[in-house]
Amino acid sequence: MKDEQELIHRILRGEREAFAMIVQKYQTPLLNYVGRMVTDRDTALDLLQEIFLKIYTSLYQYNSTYPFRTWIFKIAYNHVIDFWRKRRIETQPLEDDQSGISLLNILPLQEESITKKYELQQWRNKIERALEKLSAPWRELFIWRYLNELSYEEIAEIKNLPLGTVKNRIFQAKEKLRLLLEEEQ
Amino acid sequence: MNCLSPEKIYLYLEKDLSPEEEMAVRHHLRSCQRCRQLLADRAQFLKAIKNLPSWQPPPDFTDRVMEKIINQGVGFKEIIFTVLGLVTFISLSLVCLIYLAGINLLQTFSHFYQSLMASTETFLVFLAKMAKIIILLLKITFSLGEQVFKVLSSFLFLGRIEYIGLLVGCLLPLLILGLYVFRRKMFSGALL
Repeated sequence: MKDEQELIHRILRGEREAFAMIVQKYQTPLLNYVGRMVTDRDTALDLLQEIFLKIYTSLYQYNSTYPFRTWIFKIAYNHVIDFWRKRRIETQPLEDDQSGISLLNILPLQEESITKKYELQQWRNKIERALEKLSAPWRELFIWRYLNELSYEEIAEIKNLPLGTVKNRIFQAKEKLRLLLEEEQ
Repeated sequence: MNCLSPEKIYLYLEKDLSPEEEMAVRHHLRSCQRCRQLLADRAQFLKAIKNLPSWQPPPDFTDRVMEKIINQGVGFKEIIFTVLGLVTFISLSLVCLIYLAGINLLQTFSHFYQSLMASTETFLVFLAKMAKIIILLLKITFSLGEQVFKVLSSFLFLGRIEYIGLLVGCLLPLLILGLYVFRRKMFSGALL
């Protein structure tokens, strides 16, 4: 954290090359987020380049009291939203998407049939496919929490939502993914 | 205790419960086969999702980004905004200066113009004509400003110093905005 602040100061003093270290540190987590949101690797890499340029040109606006990782993810999140808007890709508002919630009630009845099938290697591909089917707002929350390992607090900050809402939505995202996995069977 | 909800199971697995709640969940699990099954299932699910493969960027990705940053060009929009910003700032500063210094400054400009006219050839004549136009524009702005001040003075009984204060008060936000934009452009490399 302290090193990162020092790095930012160096960049702001005009040492452009120091930005390479920021790129190296965040390229993989951001690619995992952006890549899984747009699902196409080439598009994701183009978007990622744009995101890093945006981070660089906005760095002077960064407030050092704010966690840098959260700030970076917030920029990436806004960029992905802009990308969807430009491509006119519609995302369902979370409040209206209640389809999975009523189904949650029947989930415990299906537990036994699923349990034996959790073989990690086999499940990876299935999870990736299910993840692609998960609608974007849920997928985003799921990726941040389980792939980028962001805390609930960080996600609440990025999405500008209360902590309780974020926790509840991430729970719903997991259960929706589970339902999609069942459909894969 | 009633059977555990899937939400509670996740909270338990991710150690997000209070010690009391955790104890109650453990207690319930000892006596409920169905909830133990649910727990095992969700634990497997969490393990599986945490082991998803990571997407890796190409090895030269950092170099590509850095190349773009270092070779960032000057955008047309940036040039227009910067030039407009600077012209506005300089013009307003000059108006302010003329107002503060009074007519003497205009006379100095006129003398400068006349001496320029007397001692230069074609190219400088062109420049001098440009200077004359600028001086004319400044004169118009100045007299317009004076008329506005006069009209205002008839309504509000303010002195010259108060008006200067008002003028500076109006210019200051513009100056701050100009510097802010300029700093941003400087930093992004657009002006370098």
